[in-house]
Amino acid sequence: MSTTIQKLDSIGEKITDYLSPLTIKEVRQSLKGKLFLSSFLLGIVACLIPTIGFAASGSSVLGPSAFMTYSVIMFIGICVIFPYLAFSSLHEDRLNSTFELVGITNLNSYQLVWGKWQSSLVQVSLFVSSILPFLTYSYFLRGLSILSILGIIVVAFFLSQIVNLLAILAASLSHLKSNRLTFYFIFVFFLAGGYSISIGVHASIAAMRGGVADFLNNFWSNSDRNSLLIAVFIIEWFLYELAAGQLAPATANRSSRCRYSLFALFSLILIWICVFLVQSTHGVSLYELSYFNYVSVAILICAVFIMGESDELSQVLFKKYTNSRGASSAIYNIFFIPGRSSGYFFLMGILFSYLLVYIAFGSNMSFLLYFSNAVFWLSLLYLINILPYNKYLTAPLRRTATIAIVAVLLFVPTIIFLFLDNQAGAILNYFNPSFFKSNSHLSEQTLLIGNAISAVVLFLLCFIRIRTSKKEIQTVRKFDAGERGATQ
Amino acid sequence: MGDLIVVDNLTRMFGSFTAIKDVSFSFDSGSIFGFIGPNGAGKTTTMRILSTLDIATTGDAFINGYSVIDEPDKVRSMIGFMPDYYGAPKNMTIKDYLDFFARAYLLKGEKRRKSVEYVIDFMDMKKIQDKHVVTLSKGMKQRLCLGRALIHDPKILILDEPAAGLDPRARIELRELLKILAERGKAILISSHILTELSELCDSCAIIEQGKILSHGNVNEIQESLQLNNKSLPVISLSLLEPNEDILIHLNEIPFVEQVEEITKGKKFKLKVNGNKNQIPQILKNLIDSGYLVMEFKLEGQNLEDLFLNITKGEVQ
Repeated sequence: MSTTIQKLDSIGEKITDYLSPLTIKEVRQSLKGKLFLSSFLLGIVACLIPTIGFAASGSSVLGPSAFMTYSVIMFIGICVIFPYLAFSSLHEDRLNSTFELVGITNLNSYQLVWGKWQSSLVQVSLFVSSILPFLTYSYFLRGLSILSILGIIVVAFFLSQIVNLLAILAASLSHLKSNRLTFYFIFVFFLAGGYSISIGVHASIAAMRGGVADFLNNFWSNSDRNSLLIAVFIIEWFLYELAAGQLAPATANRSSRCRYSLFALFSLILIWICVFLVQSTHGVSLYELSYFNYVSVAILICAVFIMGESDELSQVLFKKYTNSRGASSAIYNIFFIPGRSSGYFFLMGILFSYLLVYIAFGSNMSFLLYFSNAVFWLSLLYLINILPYNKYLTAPLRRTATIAIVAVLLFVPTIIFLFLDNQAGAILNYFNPSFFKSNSHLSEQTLLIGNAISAVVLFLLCFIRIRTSKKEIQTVRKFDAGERGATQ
Repeated sequence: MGDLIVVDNLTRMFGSFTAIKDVSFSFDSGSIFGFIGPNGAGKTTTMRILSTLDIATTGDAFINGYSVIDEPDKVRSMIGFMPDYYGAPKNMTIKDYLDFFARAYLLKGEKRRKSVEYVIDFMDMKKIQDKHVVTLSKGMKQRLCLGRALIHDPKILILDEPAAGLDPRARIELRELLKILAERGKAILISSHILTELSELCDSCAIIEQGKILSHGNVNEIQESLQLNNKSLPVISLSLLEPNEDILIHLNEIPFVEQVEEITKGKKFKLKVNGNKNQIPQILKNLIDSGYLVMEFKLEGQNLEDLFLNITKGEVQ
């Protein structure tokens, strides 16, 4: 018997050799932690109390009500509490220098972020497994199919992973504790958590009303939500790269992979837009086109991060890349080399691509409207980013400020509209991208004129910036040549 | 063949602030190199660059021939770094902690298990291996951190203030561990404020102040070069077995004794000697021949602490 156990032990040990060391560490730590244990128990108790009520009521069809209660508890757990655990775990690792020490081992920062994410997946799985008996119980209370229940669990799981990753990213973005907490509350608690819960509530209501067919139809064919999920995925991909870059030691390549990813994502977005437009034989609706605003903002956030990158972050790479000559390598370098200058070229790239899409598909005037709306956002954010561009502000501060402004610009007008229109229950629509547009009181002509002006301003700013960028690159080249000569 | 560690004109600037400027030194395996300087002198910055945690603005450093700037991945497997500050991870035992770092250095299966066991044995932590890291004393945490730095059997150890905050026993234990490691062929770079500790431990050292190396090399070599440049007179510390009131007059009459300072009446004195080294034993002979019971007769300014005080000005950046 003991030989069998020893064999199993040794097999288990061998398997762990292929897992991320960080995942093993995190799982070991978290399962012993009070936070995990209390969340786990609280989840069970929160489900148990209404269960007693359902059992005592004796009503004939209670499945949907019970299911809605349990699924909200599940969504709160996996989209708010567990992301916070992931956030605080990385936050503490950074405070006590564990991550710095791990950064000089053979693990690279991408493996570190991936390991953290995997461990959150294990924790969420355990939590869901504790709620699972209650969700199964709701099936026995009638009124729901097994597929409905499974559908929502899958959605919850999927969403929780997005939110968990956002939480990890929030903990990695800044060197300052206060900034990290701000990021967490903006990204996770406010945006992702709120959106996930609203989807959870929607899903529960849909499932309650019409079963799995209706729910899945409502959920997956709702292009607003799909678009937002795709946009979140796109931002996350980039932010995953960014988080890994942030956590990497200064001697590591902190920039290039972020830029390769951006390039890939940007190509993906263009393909997505083109496919979407080609497939829309019925004509593109105003609501559908509003997704592009979100996509443009997503790309812009990425570009803002790149523009705000400190020259010091990637000095070594800068030295390597600027040594190459020739037209093609110059173009390549402009896009991929680190340093604050090249982000502006990236932004220009976005604008030209938008123009190309417009030339191909822009026969529809409403598309022009929304295209110009995207340009408006780009221009405004570009302007916001360029204003604090002086030597007194550090790169992290610029990034923090810009992200805060982006969040305010995106959501404050929506909140104002919510109050002005006094719509009861509108909080569920808060994260609906079409809501802001549908409540806009501006005429199309006003929007067009305003956006056209901002587009002109944007191009002028880009032009000025390109001139100064060239000078910066020349200065760095001279500096680099001088230092190389001095050290060799 | 060159030294295992070569630091070549490292300069690190943070904006307009120069943390270190043209720092150069080298040392080889099996030796302990002391890095001495006041707070804010640039010791940690230099060590962080050597550990590939930071980059130099100019200059480079080579570990076994690999550049810390161009080939950091190759350097990392050869170094074990112990920073001056580190926190204790929660809910983790000593064994789990070492196992995690062994995994992070990509040690697998039996090799990993043996490495963890070896470090636990070497650090004498077998009895407490299942204790949580947060519950350990400061000395044991330092010990564990040194163990962590050793887990992948690196050629070089970079230790930033490893003895800070330790009680005398823990310091002696750490010193003995480091001596054993040096005997086993490790090259050790150590910074410390406790200079008496370093003087007993180090083969060579560098004294840094305001980001610049003031002096470096073998401890004796530094001392000799210092004495060549030193225009002040040598000082002898003298103690008698019993107080003697006549000795003060006698000391003033001895040739080469320029100045006598009485520390304890009739018993302890400091003598400033005007002459070369060969004349100093003559003073001792004179005292013994005159029947004084000499308990201590020592030329001052010989240890690392004195060297440090002589070279540095106590300025911080």
